[in-house]
Amino acid sequence: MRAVFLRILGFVILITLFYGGIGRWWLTQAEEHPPPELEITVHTDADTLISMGRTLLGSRGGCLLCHKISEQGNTRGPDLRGVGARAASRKPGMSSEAYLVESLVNPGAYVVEEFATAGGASIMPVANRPPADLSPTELKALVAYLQSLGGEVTVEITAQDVAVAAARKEPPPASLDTHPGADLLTQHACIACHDVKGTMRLVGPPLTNVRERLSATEIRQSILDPDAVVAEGFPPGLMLKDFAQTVPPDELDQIVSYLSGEVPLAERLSHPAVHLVALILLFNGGVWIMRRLALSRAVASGEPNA
Amino acid sequence: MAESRGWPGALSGVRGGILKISLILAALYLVVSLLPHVFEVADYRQFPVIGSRVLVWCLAQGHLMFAGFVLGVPIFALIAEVMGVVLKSERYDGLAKDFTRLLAMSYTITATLGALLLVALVALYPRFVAHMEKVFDPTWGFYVAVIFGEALFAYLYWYTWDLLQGSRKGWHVFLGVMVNVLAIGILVITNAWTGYMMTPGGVEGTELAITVTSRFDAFVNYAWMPLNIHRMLANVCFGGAIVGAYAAFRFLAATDDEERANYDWMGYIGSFIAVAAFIPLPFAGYYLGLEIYSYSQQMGVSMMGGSFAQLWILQAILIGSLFLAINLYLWLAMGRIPGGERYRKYQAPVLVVLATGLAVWATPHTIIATFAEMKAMGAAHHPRLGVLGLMSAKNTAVNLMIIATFITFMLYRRGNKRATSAFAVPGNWIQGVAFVAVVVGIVWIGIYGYFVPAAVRVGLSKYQPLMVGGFMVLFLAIEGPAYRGAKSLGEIRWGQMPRISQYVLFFLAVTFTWLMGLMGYIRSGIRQHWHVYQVMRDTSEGAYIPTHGFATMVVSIIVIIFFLFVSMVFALAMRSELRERRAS
Repeated sequence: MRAVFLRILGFVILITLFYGGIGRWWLTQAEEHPPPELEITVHTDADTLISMGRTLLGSRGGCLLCHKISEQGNTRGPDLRGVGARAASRKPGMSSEAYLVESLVNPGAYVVEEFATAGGASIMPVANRPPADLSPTELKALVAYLQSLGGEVTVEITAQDVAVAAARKEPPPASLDTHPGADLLTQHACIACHDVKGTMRLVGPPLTNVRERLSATEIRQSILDPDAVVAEGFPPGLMLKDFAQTVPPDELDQIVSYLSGEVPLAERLSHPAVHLVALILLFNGGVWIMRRLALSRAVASGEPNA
Repeated sequence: MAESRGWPGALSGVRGGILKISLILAALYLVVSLLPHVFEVADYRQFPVIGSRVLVWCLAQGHLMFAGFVLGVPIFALIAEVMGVVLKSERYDGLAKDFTRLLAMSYTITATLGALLLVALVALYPRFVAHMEKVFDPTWGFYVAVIFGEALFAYLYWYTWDLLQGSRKGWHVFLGVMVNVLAIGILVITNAWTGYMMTPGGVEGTELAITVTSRFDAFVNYAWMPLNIHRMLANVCFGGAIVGAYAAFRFLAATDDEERANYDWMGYIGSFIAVAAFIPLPFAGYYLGLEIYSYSQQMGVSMMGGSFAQLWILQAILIGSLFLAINLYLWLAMGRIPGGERYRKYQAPVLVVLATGLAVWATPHTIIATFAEMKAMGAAHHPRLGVLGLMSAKNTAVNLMIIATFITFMLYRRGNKRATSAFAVPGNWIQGVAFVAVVVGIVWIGIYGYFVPAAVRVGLSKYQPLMVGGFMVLFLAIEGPAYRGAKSLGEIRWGQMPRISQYVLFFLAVTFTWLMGLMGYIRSGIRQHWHVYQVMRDTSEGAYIPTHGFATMVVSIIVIIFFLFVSMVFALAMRSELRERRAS
């Protein structure tokens, strides 16, 4: 038995390594990393911009998966050689730059006939949304490169482009905290006046450790009737008094629960741990009862193995 | 009876199984709840030595392989049991029981690997888990309830096997149906999560700042249904292959002819199940690919023509090897069929079709070549062989390989029969004409594809499998009446198989497993540097596509570890059988 096992194990390892070896020694070896962030400013000169556009074309833009810029390449989309010259005359009255931007952000606006789907639509994804997700500056860099393919480069980076691109780089305002109350604090703009992650003194007192100072009832009162009890060092009358009208009751419960750490009974019962314990008790208890009944019946019928 | 005495004994076994699952889930919950208190807040954490990505990769793939096995085996165990009832055959009932014997231990390993995977995700990728929690929170509890239900019915199914016989067999079949219904429930829930990561829907916003606009759309995403179909077929195929490997091991370790005959038969049935589910699998794959393209052309193009293009060559080698192995097994098996030698003359042409098909399928369109090589060829692809890299050639090759394998199987079925019916001769003629027609048709479509635009060529590709399917249906429809009342040339000599045939069964199991590992990597890898495609970026250290060599070596290591675990399952199944024999 052991000899059979070892022979089979050796056989399994051999086949496995054979397939692994094909991948290792026969196929091309290259890592593919996410494209680097490009630093584009109003001072970036045209040549650098064109070069960056070329990088985007082959990397994050993913353009070369369908288009080609040399004899070799893909033909799912139009050949981009000479596109700089064609773009200027593609749509009467529309500049080369405007046409190229439109083609990137709204590819269905004008579809080159032989590349349209049966319904006349375009298969091209929008360039300023994921997965390419190009910022206005990156979009212009790409347009500059495309214009350079047989046309005149007219693109200029503006301060507004740079500002919009910088804003896009900001991480979205969200946290790992999955308590719905955390999101509601943002939604109802509480974080505009209160620091919820640190101890910074903003317009109102920080809420980070509010549960150490106030009970759930007091927190609720502070939201619905802010001037009833005012935190030390803060003047009365600063906080809005219409939360009773603007915050729905269930959302208010979530906010109070999040800030106080006190969980209402209904919410406690919907906690995953309660569900898990209930399931464990239900299934184990059910089987236990079934077994007891089977034992009783076996004893009653005088089964020898009971 | 299955390791128990009477109902109290059976229910003791069920109680043990449910308790084990309860302990695993309770421990999992405790660990997952404590993790945020142990670690400092972070988007990612790094696992030492092998890194977080490889750890999660190994755990996820290992879990998936065992899950595929425990979800696939009950399907054909139930079919075998029902066949036993319909044919009044104890042999089929025993076979179904042998299939199920492998499940009990596999459930525990599947649950343990799943628990480790979740702990690893929560500990190493907390930001990603927080995102998934926001989208799929209501499904977790339901999922755990379905797992409990599945475990309860699976253990009941196993432990009551001998109790629910005779007039009570219907109840046992009902238990088997419930095992499968709940297994499908598990499959569709987990596929919703996996599908969402590839083709998300029902959310607005990105990263953690998302709003769930429709949980239904998040659940029933583009990839969900194709994944359900593809994985269901793949699980049956994979389960059949592993059962075949178990039978092969038992055959090789058998000490008497009766045991050898029994496991020879079991190995044949296991491989038959694997092959039967394998034939429609490529079409389910096409459907999945189609949905990926419908969701995102860019993702589809990355999969087939971008970073992962070369791995399809490896896939072609794997599938070609499977076809060769299946045919080899059937030709070897024909040696134990009196009269089988009449068909030996067809071996060479079938081999030629398979070898040529494999060569065509594995020919890449664009070869990565040096400048000197490209200069010599005049292009990045070979001037003559390059044409074989196109879809037309590959589809033609695979469809001819399927037909060749089908013919081999039908010859195997005819092995010990001599047709005596009056319909036999005209039936054979019709089958022959249909065969020539379908081969000519497939080759013609393949050649025609070179002279039409790509869109037309893609549209044409569906006619080849339709022709193959039509041919199979026609062939089988004729085979029944043509061989009704056929004269038997002798009984199949079960157990009289060369030992090498059992290694072929192992080859099939390893190749299926490796293929599953490779396709799992491609499916997951095409998201590139996204946890959730276009919604949540992967900004961890492992957010890049590794070299093909690295990826295939990881797949190999996963497969070896999987088979070590499988050998443990085999050993426990044998011990359980021994205990049962002693008890009876």
